[in-house]
This record gives sequence, structure tokens and C-alpha cells, in this order.
Amino acid sequence: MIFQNSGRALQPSARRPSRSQRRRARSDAPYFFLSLCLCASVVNFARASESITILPQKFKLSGQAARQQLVVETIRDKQFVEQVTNQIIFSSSNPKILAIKNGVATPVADGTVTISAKVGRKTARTEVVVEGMAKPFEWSFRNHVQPVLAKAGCSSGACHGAAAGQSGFKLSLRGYDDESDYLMLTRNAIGRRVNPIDPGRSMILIKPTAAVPHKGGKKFEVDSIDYRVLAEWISSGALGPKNEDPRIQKIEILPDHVVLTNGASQQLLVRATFSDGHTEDVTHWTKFNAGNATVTQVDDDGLVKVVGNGEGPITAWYLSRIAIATVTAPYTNKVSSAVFAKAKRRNFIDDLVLEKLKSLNLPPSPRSTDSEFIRRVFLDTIGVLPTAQETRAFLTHKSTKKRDALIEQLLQRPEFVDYWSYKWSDVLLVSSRAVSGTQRLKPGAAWAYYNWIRQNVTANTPWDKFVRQMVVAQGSTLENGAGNFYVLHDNPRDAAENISLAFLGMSINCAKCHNHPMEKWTNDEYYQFANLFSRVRSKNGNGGDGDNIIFVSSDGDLVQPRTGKPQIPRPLEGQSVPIDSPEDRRQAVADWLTSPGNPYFTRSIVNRVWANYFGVGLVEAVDDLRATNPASNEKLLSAAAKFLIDQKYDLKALMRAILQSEAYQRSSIPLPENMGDRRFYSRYFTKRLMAEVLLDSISEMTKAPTDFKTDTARGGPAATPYPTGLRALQLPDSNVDSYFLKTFGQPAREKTCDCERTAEPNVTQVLHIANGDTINKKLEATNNVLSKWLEQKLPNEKIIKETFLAAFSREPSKVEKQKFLKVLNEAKPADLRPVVEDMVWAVLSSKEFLFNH
Amino acid sequence: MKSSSSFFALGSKFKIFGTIAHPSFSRLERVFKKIAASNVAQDCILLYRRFSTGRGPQKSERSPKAKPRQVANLPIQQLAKLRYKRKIIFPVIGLIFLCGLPALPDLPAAEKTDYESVHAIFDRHCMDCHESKDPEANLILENFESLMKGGESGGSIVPGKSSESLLVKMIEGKIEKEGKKLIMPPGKKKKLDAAEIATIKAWIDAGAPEPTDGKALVKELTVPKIAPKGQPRDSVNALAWSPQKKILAAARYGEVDLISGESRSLLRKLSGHRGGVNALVFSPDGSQLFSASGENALSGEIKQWNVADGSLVRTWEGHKDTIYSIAISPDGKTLGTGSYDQKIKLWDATTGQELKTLSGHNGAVFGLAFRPDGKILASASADRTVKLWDVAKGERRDTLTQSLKEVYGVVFSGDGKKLFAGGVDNRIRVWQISEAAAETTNPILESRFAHEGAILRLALSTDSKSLLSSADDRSVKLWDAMELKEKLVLESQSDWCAGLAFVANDQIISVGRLDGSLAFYNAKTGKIISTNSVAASVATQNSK
Repeated sequence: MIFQNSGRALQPSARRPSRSQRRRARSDAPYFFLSLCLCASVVNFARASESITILPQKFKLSGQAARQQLVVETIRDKQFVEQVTNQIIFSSSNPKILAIKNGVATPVADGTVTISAKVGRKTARTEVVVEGMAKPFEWSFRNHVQPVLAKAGCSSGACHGAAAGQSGFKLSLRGYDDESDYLMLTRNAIGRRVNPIDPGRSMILIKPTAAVPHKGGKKFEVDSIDYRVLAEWISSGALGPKNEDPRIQKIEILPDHVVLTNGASQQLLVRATFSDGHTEDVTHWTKFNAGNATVTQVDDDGLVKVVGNGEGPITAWYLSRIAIATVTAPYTNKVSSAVFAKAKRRNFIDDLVLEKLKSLNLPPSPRSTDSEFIRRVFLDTIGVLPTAQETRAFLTHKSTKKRDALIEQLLQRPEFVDYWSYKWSDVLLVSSRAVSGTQRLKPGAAWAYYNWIRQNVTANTPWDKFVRQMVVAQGSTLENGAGNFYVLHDNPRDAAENISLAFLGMSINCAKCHNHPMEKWTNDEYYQFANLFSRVRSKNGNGGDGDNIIFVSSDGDLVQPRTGKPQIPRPLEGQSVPIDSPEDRRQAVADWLTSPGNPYFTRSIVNRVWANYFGVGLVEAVDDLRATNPASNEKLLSAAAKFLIDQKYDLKALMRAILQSEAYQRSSIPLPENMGDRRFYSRYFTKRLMAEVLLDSISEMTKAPTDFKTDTARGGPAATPYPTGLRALQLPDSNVDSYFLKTFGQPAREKTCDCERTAEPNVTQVLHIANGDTINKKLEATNNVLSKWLEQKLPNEKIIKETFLAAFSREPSKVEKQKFLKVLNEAKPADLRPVVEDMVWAVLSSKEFLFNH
Repeated sequence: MKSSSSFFALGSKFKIFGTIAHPSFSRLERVFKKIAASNVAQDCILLYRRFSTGRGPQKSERSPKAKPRQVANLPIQQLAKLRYKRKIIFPVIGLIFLCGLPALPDLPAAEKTDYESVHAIFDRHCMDCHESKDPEANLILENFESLMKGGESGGSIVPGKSSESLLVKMIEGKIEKEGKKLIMPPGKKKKLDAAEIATIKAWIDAGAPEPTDGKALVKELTVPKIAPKGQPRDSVNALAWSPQKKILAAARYGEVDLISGESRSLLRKLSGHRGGVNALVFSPDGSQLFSASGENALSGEIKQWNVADGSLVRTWEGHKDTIYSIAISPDGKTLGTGSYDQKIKLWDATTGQELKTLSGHNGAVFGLAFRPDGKILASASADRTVKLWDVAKGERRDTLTQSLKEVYGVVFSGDGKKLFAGGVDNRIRVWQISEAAAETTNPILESRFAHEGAILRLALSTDSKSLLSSADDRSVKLWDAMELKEKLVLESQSDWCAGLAFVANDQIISVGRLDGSLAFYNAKTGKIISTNSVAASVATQNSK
């Protein structure tokens, strides 16, 4: 990613908005001119497809406290494209039923009215029903007081929502526990926080208005609606949550998708629907969050500001419900639609990638050259460089189907098994490394675990079958390596959390202590899920060091600490299992995980495979799938997931589709118009070779293999060293003593997180490549490829050519060849070796070598 | 090997460095690590790219035709030097230059140089974090003495020299810590304006004079008046029984009800308290009643009443928050109060003079009890501990840490040898307290899971044989105090019972609830005797 980041850093990004502003000014000028000189009909003709509308498009106002902020939006080509903010004249057909002031509709009496918004010559109308005005109104603790406390931040994790509360005042995180919060407010510390007799002296009014010192500072004003809600709730007797309270069903954001220009603003509206059917404008109490701050920013009131091009999701949170709106800010390129129409499409991936690129005005880069393709597809699929010979054969091959043929070969190569066994070993934490002094897996167990993975990759076991085997694993962990998962995660909570991370790409850990603030998972659901693993037990086997017998006990339950009772076992969204059923509850986990109806499972594996090839997941990061972190191309992720289900979880089928797609085969060189793209696959995104692949490639280039041995400092007695010639990608265990691998981000395999592997650049890497003992030793080795060349007295030109083909899968350019030849030829025969070493060193330390592109 | 190509000369030079550990090189690596750790990591990325292809990436990325093919190199040391100079040395020089600049002309001096005007500024801006309760950086700006004492970084004020005073440097944003500029108030909080800073500086430059009257500044709370709709809940917050006078006192918001033990009707209301009355205690002879309340987050208030005629003897203020607990020594001479401000204060009960402040709790002090010999005071706190204090010396003797959650109530047995405590972990614990009550001499005797909810109050019968407990699951239980065995469970209560007392020679149990109601139960059978609702007590009073 080094390549990418600094590429952007060098862009004079500060200048960009002004350029686009100039362009917009230019494009607006003709309209201005026209409207001055010509009649209005011409103007209308010029924007014939444009209209305006009021948001919400149709709504009800229920009860005396109802209100609705109104937004007027321009529609072009059936899309919302701009919020109208100037000179809107709102009117109500009957102000005795509904009044509009400052763009906010308030109810007066029951009835139906038409409201209209007039902007210039355009008018938008909508019908509004006012109802329930005769009903006495009271603020509800559950539905009004809690949102005030959540929005003001009182119940946030940093304040009174913290596990320990603040200054003796503790609320549930974002108010998920109404009963306990109600008692905390009205009863705890002898009713300290709410004063029923002199409501104005209530702590929950004097603290947030900073009438007395408040560490959290001032949260709202005395004349705010928030103050009013709390004050009126208290003065009406501070009634608690009731069973018959309407419950929140869903929230929606208006508009949920809008196409805006860079620099534009958009007010979002949030409407909540309750179980009794009524809706409320809850924009004021919604917590907003911008998912991609480089494209959009959003303030506390839901006003979005576009600050860059691309797509920015905005998350809205209200009463534990979540909704997402997408703001698309197309790039300001002049790209004819023919570019997208003519672009080659191989399969559904191309259709959906191009659809997204078109909506963003991002032209795709041209197809990669054969040289680029062969190097890229080797590295991404099997983790090795193509040899000079393989490259030569491919480049000279004339068939138009040679790329497909190469893909097929690679999917069947033995190195494919090495590569993907290694990848899954990362996910499943195959390691005998000691973590804080204890070796969680003995070397024998790590081997068994690895071999089990390897067998399945070799057999190309469908992913659902592979996972099922692991989830229900039993018996000796040396005989059935899969059981080591339960040795690593030896309590129900760890097992549940790591299954979720590894196979759903989802972290449910938050829900261990409280309802998940950014997800739908509740504390109860967490304990339902974790209780499915409460009967997994292990005992020592007689197979020697590292042998554990995994078995399932017929009793035992995990206690939910909040209630002190076990929760009925149930997979997150599956059917619950009777608590007294004697069968292995993990069957229910496996059934639910791998059922085609489980969206998370398939999307997670699709995203992991996708990220391997494209460098950037459709969802980033690959283990952070959640409702509030949408995919950059949702249609594509859904389609790919459906494809994998149709292919019966054959991962090779998915890889084939990816590798064959034009999207994957694009050049990595950006066009000026798609330079800013980091998420939408307008080109192949370059990536630094992963640590193991880089080391293997250096070894292969020099024909000087790396010797690996166990890191004895990390636990275990000195093991026999691995056989010479074993590649880094063939290592079964992360417990290896290698400075190079550590420096370049080899994961320790201590926790299930893609973040363990880092591609972050650092100075140690630079220095190690330049001057460390990995490359230098390999260059100086006596039996390496250089020795062979010199022994065979290979002509200098041939040496250069071989080096380039092996390293870059291409021939040297004329200039390159000339320059290298000059130095090689000038060297005295006795000095030739160091000069050749320098040349290979220069190649190995080049960007073209270090990156896959 | 002096080749004509500078590139190759460089290449081999590197290798020489690599084979013999070059000291200057390892130093360079350290410098780079530092840079990488700082904010200029971006430059390292640049360096990395420049280094790996000499032409630099920008060209190749800007023009798609020029591919990053050619392999050439720039010497890493040169690059490093260049970067080092540009990114680090220049700003450092700049900083030195800036710091060395002559001070800017001072703003017009403020007129006032009194402490009160300075204190008013602190009040507006600083007290959210620099109150005596949990002060940031241990700096308390509540009064002159604490301000002059300074915080964890030393003195905050250098009298006569405002520019050398840490406090001034902080509010002017002249302090840098770990590369970040610090300014007070921090974060998004509003900063002091020029006039306010000038006022503070002027006061310091005038020698930082003491406050003129030397008295603490009394805080008043001004809030909008909001009228409750309908009859508000007037909770009973505490109960106390006087066996001599046969009178039950019930603490409510701003007042105390005195209730006849015989007729169980309201005798009189003692009004005029600031805030809710949370704690009551009769003098040992029953002639006086002490009641404690407070203004939340501001101050505590104690009133002494003549029980016979209901006249107010004395009112005094103390603490920085509402008082939650009160106890009187058996000789009637010393009064103890515990507050939400985490402090315990000892007062001369006959004059209202403050004797001592007992500091040490890290949470509100919800319960207090004197040992019958008057030498030891026990306190129960939200910090999950019970502490034992030497009354005469005002020193802590022991901290009992067995409780898992907040502790609300403590009582001593009649012989002073046992201490009972209860709180949020639903348990009643009993300790054996030694004569000296010193550390390690007060073993725990029992820890009994008593309720399905947090224990709110404990009360002991006069004969020490029975213990009462109320909890937030709305239960009230009567225990054999010796065995800690459950004797009675009262009916489920209509609300939390914050008031709990044995009355009428331990024959009757009285409870006062947060919904405002009072009830009396037979202590032998647990049967209800009578209930006084709020309305009933008001009616009684009106009829008088």
C-alpha cells in the first residue's frame, strides 16, 4: 500500500475543489446566460428531467408533540441530486390543521392537509395526516427520555455509560437497559438525580446545563427541546418504562441515497416507526456517523457535507436501531458513457464493477499486459514468482485463451495448497508460539492442526463442509487436528467469539458486557450463542505431548452474569436448542453457520477471498463485517455470495471467476481520472508482497534457500530445524525465528484478526532490504545462481535478461539493458562477481520487485 | 571498486556497511525509527519509494505512459540528511526563534487585583475538573489556599511573576508536552478571553493577595422554576425513633415529619431544609433531633431541632454535596456526617463547630455508626469499603474491603464487638471488631446472601437481638442478629424502603418508602398494623 498512499500524498489535493468549483461555475454560466436572454421554456427544456420533491414524501403527525422537519430535494434521472435551501415558500392548505414555521411542520388539529413547497417556478406537494391531537400527551421514558440521554452523550461509553459509571451515576451503554436506568435516575442514592417536588433542581437538569460543575461539560441549554423533554417528564411524575409502551421497530434515513457534488451539503432526516404504527421525526436525537471521512462529514444535527469524491456511508443510530444512507459524490471527470458501454465484461463481476464505476464517473484502466498478468496471478494465487522459463513460454504463446489456461493450471498447482493452507492457518491461529509464557498448542498439535487444514485445501473441500468439520470436532487433537480450535479457545465465550470472527467476519465481543452499540447483537444473544459451546470439554489424551481429547459433556451451562441464569442456547439468528437436549449443541451452530440462509457466513468468506486478490476487501477490514460498515459495492458482494452458494461453496470456482474477470486483469497504472479510487476497482491496486512471499521470492531469485528454525525464545525445546529448501509459505507454524518475516509483518497468530498481518511500511524494512543480512547473504552465498552464471560464463546480456525475466516477468528495456551492460562490461573479470551482486541487489530492492502490480 | 558509475559505487558501499557493523549506520537507524514513530512517517514512505526507484513514483503515477522501470538509486544517507534537515531541524530552529522573540506588548492591565474576581473566572471555566472531588492533575481551584498549593506539577502561582506562573502558561497555551501543545481549558471547552487572562495576570503581578474577608464563597443555585403537575411523590428518605419521647421522625424533601409512636399520627412538620433530608438522628436523651440534607453538588446542611416544641436550634452548612448519613456519639457530644462529597465530618453537637474532616473514601459515604463506647466510628461507602475511624484522633484505623460493590449501611451491635454492613452485592457481612480496631484485628465472621437486590438500609433492635434489612427488590427482612438467620420476610413493598426503624420497644417495625408511604408491622408476626399514605399525613396536619 506504500505505493497508493504516497501517490495520493503527492496529489495537490488542496487544489482539487477549486478546480471543480471553476468547472461548475463554467457549466452553470450558460444556464444563467440563457435564463437572462431566452424565455423560461428554454430553461425548462434545458433541465427537463429535473423536478423537486418534499421529504418525507408522505407522512403522518401523531399527537401533540409531533413535529417534522421538511427538506426540499431536487430529483434528476430518478435520483436525489441536491437539497434546495434557498427561497423555499412552504404553505399548508389548512393552517388550522397543520402549521409550518422555519421549515418545520407542527400539528394543530386532527385532519388532512396538503403542504406545498414553491421554489421559483417549481412546486412540490405532499399530503399530511394529523391525528391523535385529542389524546393527552406524555413523554415516555423508554422512547423519549432515553434518546435524550443517549444523544447528549450521558449514557456514552466515555461517561456514565461506562461499566463503572461516573461519580456514582451509572447508566447502561446508550440506554439499552430501561428498567435499571429508570431506577438509577429516580431511586438510586435516595432519588438524587430526579427531584419530583422541585423538578428544576433535578441533577439530570442542572448537570447537563452546567448550572453546577459538570466534568462532562455543558450538554444542552435550558431552552432546548432536550431540557423540555426531561423537565416535562419529571414534572409529570417521572413515570417509568411500561410494558404497553410502543416499541421501536425501525428507523429510516431520508434521503437514503443521494448523489451530490463535492462541497455540497445535505440535511438528512430520520424517521422512527413504532410498534403501534406511529412514526416520529427523531432526527434531533439520532447519533450520526460518517463512515468515510474523506468523502463526507456529518454533524450532530444530520447535516452532511461532501468533502471529497467517492462514496460515503452515513450511519444513523437511534434507540439501538441502525440505518445507513449512502452519499455518492461522483468524480468530476468528463467520461463518455461509451467508455463503460464498450468496456469488456467477462462475468457478473465486471457488470457490477462497471455499474459502480459508471455511477462514480471513474473510467477503468486498460487491460494489463501479459507480463503484468502472469506475475500478478502467480503471486496472488500460489505465492511464487513465475520462473523465467514459464514467463517466456506464456509471453510467446499465441492463444487468445492463454490467460484462462494459466488460471486453470495455477488452481491445480501444489503451491496453491501451500498458499491457501498458510492463509487459513493465519485465520485459525495455527501456532506453537508461547503467549505470555504458555504454549497454547504443543508443536505436535500445531502440526496436526496444520495437516488437517492442508488435507482439506488439497481436496478442495467446500468451505461449508470444512467449517462444519471444525465446529463439531471431537476426539484426539493429534488424530483430528481440527479439535485444536477448542484447545486454543477453551471456554464458551472464546469459542463463540472466535467462530464469529473467523467465519462470520464479525466481532460480537462488545455484546459480552452490553448490547453491541454498532450492531444489532444484544447481551442476551451473546450468551445464547456462547452457551452453545458450554459443554465442550477436553482431557489429556495418551498420544503424548499435545494430545487432548475433545468431547462433549451432557450437562453444564454458561451463566449470563446479568441474570445469574443460563440463557437458552441459540445460534445468533438460528433456532434455539432445548436447554435439556443431550445432543451436541455445536451441531446447531454448524447447521446455522452453513445454511444458505445465513448471509454473514457466505459474505465473510467471499470478502476474504476477494481481498486476497484485489488487495482491498469489498468490506474493509475483512473481519469487520457489520451493519454500520457497508460494502463498497453491495450488489457485487451479494452477487458473489450467491455465486458461491450456487457453486456449493467451491472456493476455486469463486477464485476462477475473480481471476477471469476484466476487473482483476486491469492494469495497475492509474488513469488521471481514476487516480483517487481506492475502493471501486477501476484498476488493479498494487500491494507490497506479503512477508513470506517476499522472502520466498528473494530466495528463488538468488537460488539461495532460507533455513528456518523454531524460535526457542518463544517456547518449547529446540526443535529440529526445518528441511533446507522449505519455503516460508510451507511453514506449518508461526513459531519461527525469522527477523525478515517479523519485520515484514508476519502475523503472530495470537488473535483472530486480519490486522495481525501488517503491510505498514517502516524504516527497519527499508534498511533491511538495503543493507540487512537477508539479501546480502543470499547474494554472497557460494552456491547461488550468481555463482552458477559466472561458472558457466553466461554472457552479460543473458545475465541481465534472466534477472529481469525472473524478477519482473519482462525483458529489460533498451535503456536498462544499455546501462547495466555498460557497467558489467567495464568490470574486470576478477571484479565481476561484486558487480553482478550489485545489479541483482538493485533489482531486488526496486519497487517493481517489492510490489505486486 | 571505483566504477565510473556512481550508482554502482554506492551499491558496493552499502554492502561494506552491511558486513561490518557501522556505528554511524545504527545511529541512523535509530533516528529513522524516531521519525517513523513521529508524525512524519509519511516522509519515510516517500523515502522508501525514492529509495527503491530513483526516479520517484510521482512521475510514473502522473503519467500512465512513463512506467517505473528504470532502476537507479539515491544514496540513503543523503536523502536522510536532507529529510532530517527539512522536517526536523528547521521547525526546531523556528521554535527556538519564536521562543526567543521579545514578549508581545502586554494587554491593558485589568483594574481589579482581588482574589474574588479571579475566583469568579475559575468558577466560570475551571471547576468542572478542578473541584476538590477528583481534581485533574491534583490541582484544586476551589479556594485561595488550594490554588496557592498547586497541583502535581508543583506551584501554580508565582506571586508577582505572572509570566512564570504555571497557571498562566497553561491558560495561554504556552506549555508543550510530548510534542502536543497544551491549553486550558482543554479540548472543545471555551478558552479564557484576553480580559480574563489579564485579570488573572494582574492579580498575580500584584503579589497574588489573599481574599479580603477570608470566608468561603457561598454558592447559590439558580434554576428555572418548574411546577410539578399533580401531587408529586414525596418520598420518605430516612426514619429515626426516639424511645424516650416515643416519637418517630421521617425525613422528606425539605422537611421532617414528627409522628407519634402511639397514635401514629403526624405531630408536626419541621420545615425549612435546603434539599432532601436524607439522614436523621435523635440525641441520646431524645430531646434534640439532628437532620441532614443538602444542595446536590454544592453543599450539605445540618439542622438541630428541639423535639418538644419543634423549634429550630441551629442550622449550619458543611460538605460540598448533599449529606447522606448522620450519627451521634453515645455521650451526645459528637456528631458525624457523611456526604456524597466522599468526606466524613465530625462536629461538636452542642455548638455546631466543625471538629475534623475524615478523608479517605473514594465514593459517597452512605452509612455511619458510632461504636457504643464512642471511640470508633464506622463508615459505609460507595467505594465498596467500610472504614473504621478513631474518633478522638480523626485517623483511619482499618479498611474492610470484602464487599464486592457499594456499601450502603453499617450498624454496631450493642456490645460494640460486631459490625454489620450491607450493600449492592446483596450480602450482609459481619465483622468482629477489636478494642483498638486496628488493621488485621477485625476478622470477617460472616457473609450472608440476604436479598435478591441491593441492600438499602440496616437497623438493629435496641436489645441487639434483631436486625432489619431492606433491599431494592422491595423486600424487607428481619434477622436473628446473633445467628444471622432469617426470622421474617415482610410483604413485598410498594417501593424501595429507604426508612427503616424498630419502634415501640422493638415490638413494631416501621418502614418509610420512596413513594412517600409509611407502614407499621408487627415485629413478631410480620403482619401489617397500619399504613400512612402521604395524603393521610397531610390531612392530619391540616386538621391540626
